[in-house]
This record gives sequence, structure tokens and C-alpha cells, in this order.
Amino acid sequence: MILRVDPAAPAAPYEQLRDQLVEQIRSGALKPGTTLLPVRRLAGDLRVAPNTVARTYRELEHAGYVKGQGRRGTVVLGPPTRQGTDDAAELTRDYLQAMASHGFTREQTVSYLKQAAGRS
Amino acid sequence: MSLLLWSAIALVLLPAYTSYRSWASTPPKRSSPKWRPWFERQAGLPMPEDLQQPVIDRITNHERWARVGGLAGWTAGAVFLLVVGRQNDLGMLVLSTLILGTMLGGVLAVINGKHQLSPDAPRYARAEAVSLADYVPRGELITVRLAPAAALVLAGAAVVILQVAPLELPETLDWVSWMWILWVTAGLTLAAWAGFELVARHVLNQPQHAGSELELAWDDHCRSEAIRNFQGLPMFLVLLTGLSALAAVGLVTTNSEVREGAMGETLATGFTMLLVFGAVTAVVLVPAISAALRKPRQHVLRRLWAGHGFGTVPAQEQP
Repeated sequence: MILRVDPAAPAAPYEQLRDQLVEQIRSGALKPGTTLLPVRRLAGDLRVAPNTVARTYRELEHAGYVKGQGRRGTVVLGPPTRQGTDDAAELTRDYLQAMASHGFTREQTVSYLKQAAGRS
Repeated sequence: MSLLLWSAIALVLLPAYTSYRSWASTPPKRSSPKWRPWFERQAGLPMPEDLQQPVIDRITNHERWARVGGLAGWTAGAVFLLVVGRQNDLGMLVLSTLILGTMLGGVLAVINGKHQLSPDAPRYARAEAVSLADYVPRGELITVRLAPAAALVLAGAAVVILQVAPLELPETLDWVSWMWILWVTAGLTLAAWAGFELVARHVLNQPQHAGSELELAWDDHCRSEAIRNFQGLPMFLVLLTGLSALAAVGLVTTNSEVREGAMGETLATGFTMLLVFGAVTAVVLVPAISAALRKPRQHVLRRLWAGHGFGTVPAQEQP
């Protein structure tokens, strides 16, 4: 996968890199387990300061996209699963609110859910 | 054979080695309508007008360094032989030093390569880490890694066969010279393999500067060629070791004094060495030959640029 840094772009180089890497990891273009280019090498290729690449990798690690593994380098973990968990919790809350607005108690809603899950 | 003869062979081989790239270094050839398409087909990459200069700069730089390295290698080999006074029996050493110099020169071109990029222009780089297997086909890597063991087996086999055979070794010195060459080339094979591993990794660590994806692909192609050329040295040296082993045993078994009253034994001894040579060289060369049948110059495209059309027929589907 190819990264592009445009010095004339309004976004800082580390932001450009971070956004492209996030996009490539989310789309699956960069698969989990892939080792990223070492910081110094990528900085050398793009003619940016090593700190720029190091900051990008650090931010991606904090967000859960990659993990630094010492001498093994920085490895892609895949898109963080937290987003999916958040979505599921929100959908469930919406469903409970919708059922409550129709006059169903929480116990009745859970009972309907169990029935539906048993049939599927 | 003498230093003069081997030097002549070496100096004929030097331009032949660089012929693949020579179109780029000579302006009349460069403007010829047939050379560029041929080169593009070989690489599996298009070369639009705007990219012609950076690519040609890389190629001519590689060729220049390779030639200078080859001449330096040949000179160093010849001077060494003259100093130690072995120019009459170890002359073929200059061929090895010439090839070594050529390949080191080509690799130095990649290591020292400086490519112009406008400070405001976008820069392109690969996100994933690369490995040697991305630049050198698996078959060629297997051959390089088998070469030192094969050279030691061949050298050891020649010694053991001559020791075990029920023959009286002749007092002539010609076969002893070949035994010397045998051990020198076996040692050089070991050194060439170690050098290949070190140099290839050093090349992979060098930054790649590119102003477009296509330029990056061309840079990958040039790197792959520089590293792949280097792997020819251990392959050449293991063959030289095998031929030296055959020559040493052959000179003993065809010596008239040795053969007298031992025709059967000399035949069996020579045949055994021939069998060992055939088996070992087959094991070493078959992986490289199988790699050669799969367009090895486009290996790097298949590994690192699969799915990128670049406006040409994909590398895998080219006739």
C-alpha cells in the first residue's frame, strides 16, 4: 500500500500519514499482522523528520490500530473493535426506547427478544 | 590457465553483463524506437516521457558503478596474482574478482543513489516493510543459500575421493594447482554468500525517493536487478568450484603413470567425481533455473505491485 505526503497540502504531514493509514487499515488494504515500514526508513522515503512518522505511529497505537513490538517493528492490528461495540450498544438502547414508547415494559421487551432469538 | 587468457575472457564478459541496461547509457540507442518498448516489456512497466529521465539516471548510474567496480575488481585480482606470483595457475581468480567488483558496483549505485525531488512535490512511499523475498525469486534465494554448502561438499568430495581411491597420486604439480583453486573458490563462495546476505539487507534499508507510484515501481525494479545480479556470484563460484574439483580429479585419473595397471580404478574414481559434481550442481541450479522460467525481472512487480495495472498488461499475463 502506498502513502503519499504532499508538502503543499493544508494538513500536516503526520495527519496526512495518519489519515491514509487509518483508511487503509479500515478498508482492509493493510491486513492485520502486516509490519509497517520502520520509522527512519519511512521518514527517509518521504523526506520528513523521523519524529513526524513516530508521532503518526504513536497516535495509531493509542487509537488501537497498530502495536509497536520492539525489534519486530510496528504491526497492524486491524480496525479497533470498540467502534462496533459502541454501535451495538447504541442500537440496543434505541430499541429499548422504541419499545418503551409503545408501552412495553423492559421485561416484556426482553421476553420478545428471547422469543425472536429462539425462532431465528 | 594464464592471467592473460582469463583477463581477456573477463574483459569480454564485462560489457556483456551490462548489456541489459546499455540502451540507456548511449543517447542514439535511447532515442531508438525499438529499445524503450523492449526495456519496458522486460521490466513490465511503462516509461512515460516525464519519468524517462529519473529512470535513465538510475540505470546509467547503476551501469557506470558496475563497470567501474568490475574494472577495479579485475585490477585488484590481477595485482594480487602478480604479487603472490601465481598468475600462471590461478589466473581464473580475476574472473571472480571482476564479477565481484561488478556486482558490488551495482549495489553501491543503489546505496549512493541521490534522486532529485522538488521540495514542494508530493512524495510516495510504501507503507509495509519489505523483505528480500520481495525482490529476489524464491528459487534464486534457495540457490544462493545452498551455494556455500555445495562448494564445501564439492571440495571435500575431491579430497576424499583422491584419498580413498586406490591410486598412487602423481608427482606432477598441475592437479595440486587445481586443488588450490578448488579451496580458494570454495572459500570465495562462502564469502560471496555472506556478502550477498549483508549487502542485500543494506540495500533494502536504503530510502527510496519517488515522486509517483510508477517511479517507486521503477525504483523497486532497479533494486531488484541490483540484488539479483549479486546472487549470480555465489552461483558462478560454486560452478567454478565444481569444475576445479573435476579438473583436479581428472588430471590425476588421466595421468598415464597412474592409469598404468589401474584402468578400472581410475575410471571409477573419475566417474564418482563426475556423479558428485552432477548431483550437487543439479541440486544448486534447479531452483534458480525454475525461477528463471518465471520472468524473474518481473518478480518484484508480482510481489509488491500485484493489482497495479500502470496502464500496461499486468506482469503475470504478459506473453
